[in-house]
Amino acid sequence: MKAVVIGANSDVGEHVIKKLAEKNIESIAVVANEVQMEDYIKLGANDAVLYDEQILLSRLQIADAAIYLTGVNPKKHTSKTVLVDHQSVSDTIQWAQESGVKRFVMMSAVKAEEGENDSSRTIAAKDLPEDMLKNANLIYTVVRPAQLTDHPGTGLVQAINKIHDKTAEIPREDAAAILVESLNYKAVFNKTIEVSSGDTPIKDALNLF
Amino acid sequence: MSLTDYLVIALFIFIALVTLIPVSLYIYWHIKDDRQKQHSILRNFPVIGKIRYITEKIGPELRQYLFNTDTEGKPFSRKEYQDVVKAGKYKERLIGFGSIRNFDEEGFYIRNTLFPKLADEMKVDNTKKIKSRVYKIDGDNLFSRKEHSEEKLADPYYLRDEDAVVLGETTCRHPFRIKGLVGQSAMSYGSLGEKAITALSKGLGLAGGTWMNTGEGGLSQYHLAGSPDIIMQIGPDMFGVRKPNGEFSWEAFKKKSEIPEVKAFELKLAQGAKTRGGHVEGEKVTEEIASIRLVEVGKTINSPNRFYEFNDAPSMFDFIEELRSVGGKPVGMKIVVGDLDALEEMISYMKESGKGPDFITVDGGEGGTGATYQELADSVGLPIQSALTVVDEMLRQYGVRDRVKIIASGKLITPDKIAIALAMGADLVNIARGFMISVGCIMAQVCHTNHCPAGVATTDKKLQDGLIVEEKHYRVCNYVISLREGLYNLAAAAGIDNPTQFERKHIVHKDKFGRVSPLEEILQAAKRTQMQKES
Repeated sequence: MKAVVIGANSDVGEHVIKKLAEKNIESIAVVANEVQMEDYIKLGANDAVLYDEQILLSRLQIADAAIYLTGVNPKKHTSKTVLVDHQSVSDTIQWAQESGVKRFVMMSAVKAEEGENDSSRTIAAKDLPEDMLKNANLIYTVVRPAQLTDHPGTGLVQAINKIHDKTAEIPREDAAAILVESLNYKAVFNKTIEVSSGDTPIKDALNLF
Repeated sequence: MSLTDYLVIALFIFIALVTLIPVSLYIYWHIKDDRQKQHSILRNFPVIGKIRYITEKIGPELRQYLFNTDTEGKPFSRKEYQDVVKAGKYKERLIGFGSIRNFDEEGFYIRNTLFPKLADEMKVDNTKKIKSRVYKIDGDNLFSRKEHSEEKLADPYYLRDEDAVVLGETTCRHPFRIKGLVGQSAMSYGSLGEKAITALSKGLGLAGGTWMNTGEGGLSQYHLAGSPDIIMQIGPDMFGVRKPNGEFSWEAFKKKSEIPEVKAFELKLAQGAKTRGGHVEGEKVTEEIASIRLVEVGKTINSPNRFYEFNDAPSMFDFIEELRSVGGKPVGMKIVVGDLDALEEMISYMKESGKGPDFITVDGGEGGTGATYQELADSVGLPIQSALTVVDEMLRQYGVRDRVKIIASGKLITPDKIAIALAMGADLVNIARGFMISVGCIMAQVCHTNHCPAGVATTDKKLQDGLIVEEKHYRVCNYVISLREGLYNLAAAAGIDNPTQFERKHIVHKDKFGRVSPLEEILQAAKRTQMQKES
């Protein structure tokens, strides 16, 4: 299997590349700056490229899956305007479909209790990236991690429909492991899951979902 | 008798005791003070004169906690001390409101560029995270502070492989590659206790990209406890690499050089705080110390001022050549800059002979020590900012700068001071007291007495009980990572992509009238003075 990781140049992205390498899944890291390329090769990526339509199309054509990492954060979410580059999400989804990539995993974030019934442009628009993905012709999984921390991963999580605990946390390493594991778990195909630290091993949590 | 009577009697006894004890104590002290012949103050002012001795005793602590302002404490101000402690404990060094530096005074400043580098553009290697522990504050009230410690995956802020500093790149079989610019300066086992050395070793080993200098007291198992990269120091008494009669032992040296952790050797010619040989009381030379240092148990050691092996640059360089060929590892020397003519002679011989050290550790006169005399500590040897520029400039003049790395030391315990030293010509920076603070030193200034209250600079088992290696080693690790992170912050501000790029042009000196001058100008002024002196 071969996966393109868009937004690899993030704290979670580093762990995603490492986890992919551990599972012997070939990865192509899409980074923001040339200086970072060698870092990602060192982390275990087979290739590192800059975000560019032509380059991305060519890499998606040889890939089986895409992992899209947005830089959102549950705490920053409340009553703020959109924080995700919608254009890039929509472009990437479009290119993935054109290139025949079947599997698409997107990292979003657990949302504050807002927006579900809010139709305003500033708040409801936050759902846009997820909605675009759901409507695309792809096998999607949206992973919404709780507040991300720098603690070392424990491998123990919970994956449910909706996390109501506002203080819920999850180490970046575990969030990355879930993103990577969910590539192959049918139970989470075409689903949106919210994840936080828990007491179930990642594989079981995904299977049970 | 009724209960009331008993109570009345008890009350009388109580009152009698409350008055009698102090009165009799007073009389006893009064007579004692009055009759003694040692202290004039006590003879003239019995009992009350004791206040002088008590306050004098707790003066350093009182000044530190209550009377000194945050910036005026010496050798380190409260502010500098806190910066080190917070970096180690919380891995967080943010301050609020603004600087308390006195901007009217003269000093060096780092020149920031108009368009600094973005974090994405920095050449840093954060691919291998470090599993450390940090404290988080839960509540901070007047009489209680609640905090808990938690695990953290920390970015190590290593240099990229291509930016790593290499000691002995072309001269020896095993060059020493270092992926960080900050290491631990020479501190011997004996001057620091086994627990402090172990905590330092484990912390530095965990952090990586740094080194630990053994000090002249030889390589102990405690230095090796956390497998850090080690620079083994060899002082004039050659502890650990000597024969029983005091001669250099090539056999012992070869054995030491085969230890994988030992990455380089350093000949110690002098130390900023003392240009004199060390002294260890016979009672402190335990069996363990004797076996590490290869000396006799129970015999007082008075180290010589200078190596017997050499007395000038040519003989020293020959010795260095031989050390390098036997050990296969880089060999450097530690000096204090004082006599510029002697220094120039040595550097010109470096050029002439093509020989010389792989690195020169320049210790500033303000450097620390476990024990010295006030006159040597205060007034012998140039402070680091002058010494460093002089050595760098001289090496450049003779065209040998590329053959040797400069390690600077002397109170460089915060990222800004380190960056300024790097800009002045240092390739690497040594820190000793900063690391002592990170393992619990409270600056009680009693290192020479073996009574360190924090259990750091003491071999006393009881005092060392206070120092928990497991807890402190994370602070050492966090401190060194924070320094490296700070250096990257400053590099970004100066518009360079990693801290090895700091050059003279990145700093300026501002005098007390607000006039700004680049370092080159100061150097030229120094040269003019030197020439005038000669003519």
